[in-house]
Amino acid sequence: MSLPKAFQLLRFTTYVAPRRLISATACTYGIKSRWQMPYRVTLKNRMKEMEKKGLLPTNARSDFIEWNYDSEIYAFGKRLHEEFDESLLRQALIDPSYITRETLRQQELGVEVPALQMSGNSELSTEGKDIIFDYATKFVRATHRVLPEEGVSALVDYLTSEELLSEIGHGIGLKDLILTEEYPPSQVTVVNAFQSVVAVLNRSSGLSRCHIFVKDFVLTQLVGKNIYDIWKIEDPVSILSNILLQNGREAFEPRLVFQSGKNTIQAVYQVAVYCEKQFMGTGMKWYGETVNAAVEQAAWDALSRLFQTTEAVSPIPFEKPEQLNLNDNKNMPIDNWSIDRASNIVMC
Amino acid sequence: MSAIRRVQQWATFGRMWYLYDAKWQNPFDSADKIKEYISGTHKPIYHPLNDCGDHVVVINSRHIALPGMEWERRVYFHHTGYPGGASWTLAWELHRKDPTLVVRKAVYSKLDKNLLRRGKMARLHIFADDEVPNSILENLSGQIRQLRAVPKRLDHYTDEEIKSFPRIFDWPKDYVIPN
Amino acid sequence: MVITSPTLFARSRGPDRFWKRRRILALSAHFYGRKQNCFRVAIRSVHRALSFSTKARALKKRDMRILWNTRINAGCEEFGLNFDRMKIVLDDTGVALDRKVLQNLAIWEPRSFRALAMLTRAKEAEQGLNSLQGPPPGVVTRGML
Repeated sequence: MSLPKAFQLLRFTTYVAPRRLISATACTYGIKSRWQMPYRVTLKNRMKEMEKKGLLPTNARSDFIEWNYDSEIYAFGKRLHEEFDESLLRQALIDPSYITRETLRQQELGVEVPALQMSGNSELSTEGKDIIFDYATKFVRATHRVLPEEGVSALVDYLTSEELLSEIGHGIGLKDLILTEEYPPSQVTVVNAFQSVVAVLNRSSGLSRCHIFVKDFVLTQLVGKNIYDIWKIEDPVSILSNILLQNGREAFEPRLVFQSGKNTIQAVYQVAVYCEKQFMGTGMKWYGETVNAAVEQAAWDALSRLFQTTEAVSPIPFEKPEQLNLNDNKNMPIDNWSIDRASNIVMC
Repeated sequence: MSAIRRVQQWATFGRMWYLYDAKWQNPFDSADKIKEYISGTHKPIYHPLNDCGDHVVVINSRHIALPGMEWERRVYFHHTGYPGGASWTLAWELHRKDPTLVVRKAVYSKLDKNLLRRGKMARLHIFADDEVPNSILENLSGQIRQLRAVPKRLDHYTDEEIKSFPRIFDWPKDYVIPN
Repeated sequence: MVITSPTLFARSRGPDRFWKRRRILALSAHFYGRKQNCFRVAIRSVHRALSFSTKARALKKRDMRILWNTRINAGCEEFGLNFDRMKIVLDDTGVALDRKVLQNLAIWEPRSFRALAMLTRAKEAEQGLNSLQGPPPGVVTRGML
């Protein structure tokens, strides 16, 4: 920390609460002395000036004097109700950039050969990444048996994406625990740390415990999400006709099933898709859009009915993962998707 | 907004066009019914600030039936704003002038008195007879049930129907039925 | 002004005129014109506004109840019912749902609401009320068993 000495002292004096809008806090109105307001305004202006010059401290919790890393590490596992191997957990929270910086710092201080008894989390991170990816893939396949493999991989990509994992990492409080060069830690750093934590849990408590952890924190992110917001179907019409063709069915037939206010700007048209006189799906269009748009909507609805991903399907059974049949069998790819096979698959 | 939500939104707030046949109907009772449709209170999503009312096309307003002595007793008041500008018009006079006005005024007075009233009235289309322009007929997507069935007058029955109608008793042969 | 704690807000009563006035002006911060900043004008409008808000707390409950009734009736009308009839049956059958929940069902869960409407129809038919066709299909009552 290369802050000026004077400022370091100042931080622990009474009234420098960093980045707090003093004039707007309630305590302002609880204080009756006339001198306090100008005093606080002065402090605030001074803080603004310091912010401009870049003299303000970071908000890192570890900058404060009562920071106790050991107890934080202990509390981390207790908070999550998990048993971690402590030395492994410490290793998982060390980013390689931290080791580089520490080595440089020791060399600056005159240590010829810095002897740091620590190794980074790169290895653990890769291990954890594989665990998350494997389990997520198996779980999504087991819960969405009828969904094409393309959809499954889109969902898994979403679950293992950097944004999502770093958000989860922040959620379980990794931000202050990670030893890293920069503060606040970057997305990649948090993701690596989170993956390493998963790997550590695997090594300390076993794979099944680890899977429960992944299920609770990562897979539950699918709750309340629409699959087709994650997996974007580009051309539903051609996909639907392709599926029908593959299965030896007739080409689908769009029909106008409802219309209202035809000559107005708020016209409503509803189009339904039928195949061999069987209803498949429905969609709407409105004034100004082409008929193709409505057919596309209807085809898309028909696909979501075929893939059993409508809003009416029962929620993902997170509470009974042992009842799911987790295996390595891939789902049907979209080019070779069979209606008959899908109807034989029984979802639990 | 995802595609499914967009469709759902449009389906929820799409406007319906209802047809209402005012023939032999009480316009004041009908106004209670029509009011619900043009202000949207017939939908569970209703909220006073939620613009979810539907259109209503009223036909045959010339053939409405006012109850009791209303044609002669009901008076419509108007004031031009100048001294001596007050005028009182009887319902039958108003109806002769414009056969849509009795229905229109009935609905207008039943609506809530606020700034939304004019907008709601714009969704009411009244026609004196059953001749409706094609551009409006094409919009229709539903129908409001009449409050009561139109009664069939004696002169609407054919002679055969009248003859074959079951009788309680027969007139004496020498009885002369006065015309 | 953010009032995070009522204690602190109450503590600001006192001899100092400045803070005493801040207390009123804080409540008029969102008003228009001189009502916002001039104390003499602000104090009057603040008192007026506070008395309105006191009355509005009761009015809101009434307004919501009227709105819920309208919505439930709209839902019932689709099945040829009205809320007065449904209410009696729900009471009799021990379905303890209040207006707020019922209107929510009518909007967001039309199928559940339909089930309640069918229950009403079946129960009424069982009692020989409002029914020439007999009970609707799909409802099993204790009388049938």
